[in-house]
Amino acid sequence: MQGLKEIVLRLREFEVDFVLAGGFGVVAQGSSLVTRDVDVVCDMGAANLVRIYSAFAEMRPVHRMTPQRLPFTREEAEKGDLKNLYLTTDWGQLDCLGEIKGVGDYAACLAASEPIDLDGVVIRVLTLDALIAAKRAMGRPRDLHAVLELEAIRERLRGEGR
Amino acid sequence: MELPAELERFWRTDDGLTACERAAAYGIDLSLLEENLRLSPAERLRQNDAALELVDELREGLNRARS
Repeated sequence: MQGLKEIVLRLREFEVDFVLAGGFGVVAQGSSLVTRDVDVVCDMGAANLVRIYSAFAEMRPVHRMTPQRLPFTREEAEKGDLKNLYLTTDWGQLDCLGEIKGVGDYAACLAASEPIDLDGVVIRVLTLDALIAAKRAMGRPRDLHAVLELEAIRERLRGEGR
Repeated sequence: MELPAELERFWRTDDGLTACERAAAYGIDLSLLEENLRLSPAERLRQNDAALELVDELREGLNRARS
């Protein structure tokens, strides 16, 4: 199985409009947590969904949340009426979200993102402030650890709390 | 799953603690964060992938040992 990093690079290679969020975004910003899936917030319009489909068509993408694990098809992408997309592929899990609670839709997330260099490829990731807002908005027990780490990291980067 | 009541307080930021103090009180190892801040974002993501590979190898080893 490819690494999760390869999933992100694949999205970039196929010119998918996305911002890295969720656990992988938290890892990119310095958290010690380990995550097994890639969460991105995306433009969920038909054109971008087709790009997502094209990026992973060879990796047998299926809808992870359907009991029958139905395949993600080009026809479905072309309809462009998906709010979120939860996929399992041969390369791993990829969740494409139309919005991030606490931050907003793709446009808002793009405005709350920053570029990072991933082996020479520039991708965008939610900023520390945006990830903290997102995790606080979710408010689940498992988000607390991430919030505490990210707030400590933010404090360190600001040179505070020493 | 709800957090135990004694942990719910960690959501608060009006407790007089700095963020680092709160994280340490929760049990977070700040030295791990310090180490990660020395890495580039790409290195952090590679580290995550390496950790997942190790978890998978350990799981396979455990399954073999139990079979």
